[in-house]
Amino acid sequence: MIFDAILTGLSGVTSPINLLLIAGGTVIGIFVGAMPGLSATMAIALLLPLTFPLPAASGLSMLASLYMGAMYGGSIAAILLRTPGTPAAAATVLDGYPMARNGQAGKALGVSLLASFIGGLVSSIALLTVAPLLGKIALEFGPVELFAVAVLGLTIIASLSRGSTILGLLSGSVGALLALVGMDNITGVPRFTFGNINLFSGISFVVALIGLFSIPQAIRLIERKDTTERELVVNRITDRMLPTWKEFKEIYVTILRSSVIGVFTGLIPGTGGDTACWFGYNEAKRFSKHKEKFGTGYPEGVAAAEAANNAVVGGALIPTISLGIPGSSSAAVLMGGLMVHGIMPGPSLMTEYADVTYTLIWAVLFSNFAMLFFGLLLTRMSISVTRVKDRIMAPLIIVLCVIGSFSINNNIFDVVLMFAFGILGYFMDKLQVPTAPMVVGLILGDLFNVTLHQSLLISHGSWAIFVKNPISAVLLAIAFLSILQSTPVFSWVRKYGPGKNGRPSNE
Amino acid sequence: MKRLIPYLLFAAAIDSMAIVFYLNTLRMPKAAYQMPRIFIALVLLLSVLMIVEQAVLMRKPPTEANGNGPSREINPVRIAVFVLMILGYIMTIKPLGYFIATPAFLVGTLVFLRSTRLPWVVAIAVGFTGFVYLLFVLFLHMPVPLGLLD
Repeated sequence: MIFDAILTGLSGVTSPINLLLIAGGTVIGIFVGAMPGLSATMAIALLLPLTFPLPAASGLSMLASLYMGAMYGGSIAAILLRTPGTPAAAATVLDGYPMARNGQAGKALGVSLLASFIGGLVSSIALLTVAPLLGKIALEFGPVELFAVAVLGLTIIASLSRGSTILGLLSGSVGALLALVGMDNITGVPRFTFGNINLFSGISFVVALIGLFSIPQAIRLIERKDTTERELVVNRITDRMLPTWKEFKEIYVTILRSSVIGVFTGLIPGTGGDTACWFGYNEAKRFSKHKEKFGTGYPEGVAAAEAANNAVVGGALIPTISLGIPGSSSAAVLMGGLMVHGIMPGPSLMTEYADVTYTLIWAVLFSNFAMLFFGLLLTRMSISVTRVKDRIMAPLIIVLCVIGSFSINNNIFDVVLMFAFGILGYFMDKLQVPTAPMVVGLILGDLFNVTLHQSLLISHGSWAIFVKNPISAVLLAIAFLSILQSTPVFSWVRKYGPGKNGRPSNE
Repeated sequence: MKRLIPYLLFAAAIDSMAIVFYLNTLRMPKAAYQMPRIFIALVLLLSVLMIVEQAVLMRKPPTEANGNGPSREINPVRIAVFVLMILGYIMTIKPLGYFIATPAFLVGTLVFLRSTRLPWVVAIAVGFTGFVYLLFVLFLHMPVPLGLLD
């Protein structure tokens, strides 16, 4: 059954239109990633409306390739400008920039490309093997377990996101509350619509995504008092890009280690490439015999960060596809892509929509080859993209936001709503309130509503069903622990717990 | 105290929304209000906890990690004008039409932001509007408001 679906996906992805879209998505991703200040999440959100007329599998393949391409593209600006193109390339700056200054810009970009390729490949294989198995387990889940999965997803993303757990939980709760606007699926009663007909079908998830991820980014590009332009370290690449076999042998262990780290980091909701790159970099330094070389233009440093951030892509898609819980902000936007095509993320993806899901999984794998090919072909050209001024990019982003949000229902109300979410997102960013939990709340809000209602129907109104069911009880316990670990209680236990110096234990 | 004010305003805004939503649930059957009321309670509780947490953080020495560290200088006037221009753009799309409002917005903002020289500004505005027309209207067959051009 699974094998058949895998083959169906393979035949789907190899259709000429899908291969073309994978190539196109990868190229767009490399260029967007190369522009400092533009994130992969924003690019996926802005290009989401373009997939409306396409078949779901084709549109999602393009977006997934864009995600992969942007992860590598981010390193171009990090190496040449000392400014990471995406937050996931932050650790690449440490060794990539000194390499460029030493006349090894090509080598730094080549190591980055090769590490990104291997990292992406490892994560794609993990996605192809783990997601179906996890999905098979999730198929056994009923409403009680799914409610617990939703609680776990929201609490983990809230406790691991940037900022405090309280801010993360608040953001997630507001998102979930806003997801309940519109006609209630169970009773048919309109909720929080205040007589506005535009709200009867609820708040469009894509409208919220475009606003939350794109408008704040556009404002950030023009907000600085200091308007001096970025300076390129090198205007063109003159040295060889791909490392020699001897050079590759020195870094392949680091690449593989970082790839595994990236996959596991991606698996955890709320942590993305920005966390994985530092994790991969620090572990590479810890295991290295030449710790002192890190930060001075050491290729292993570039390889460690880049393999980890690309490996996040496949890792983040595992919980997204199998459980319906996005592993990163970009995966959340990809989930939005599924939803606009009428596909509800979750266990049904592996059965009802297996053709779409497996095509998407194969597209992630194929996008690595596209990234390697176009990376070698276009990296030298993409240097010019890094020169585009922020003050030109910002209004262009706004125009795309407006047309993108309008295209969903051909309605100006959606554009106004997108703008409102954008302003909210900007203030949340200034207050260090993470927006990722709000997005997850918007996705999971309806799942909370339906599964709670169904669970209480099964139990004749008893809330004890959530602790009597063993799977649900374990998932809720993990959710509780994920909140507890970020509170002062946990620090106190670590400080004064058994065997610690603070106070003696009774045991 | 000054740093707490934005959080107080944020809490006031989301709490007001939560209270309005709560009043709305009073007219709903139980099955419809059960889940929203849980989230309303969470929002109210967490907004109070947020204020407490920020008040505690304020008492700690300033660092980047707790948000009390030095932040890069921003230009509030530029932000306000830019936001107003976006609002104006959205409001004029329907009466003026997308293909008049868009180049006008681009020329206005690019000139205001002193992005580049005027001939380039005009070229970018016309070129990008043309690109949007090709992609969304010709390729995706998306109906856009034509306004005065209708």
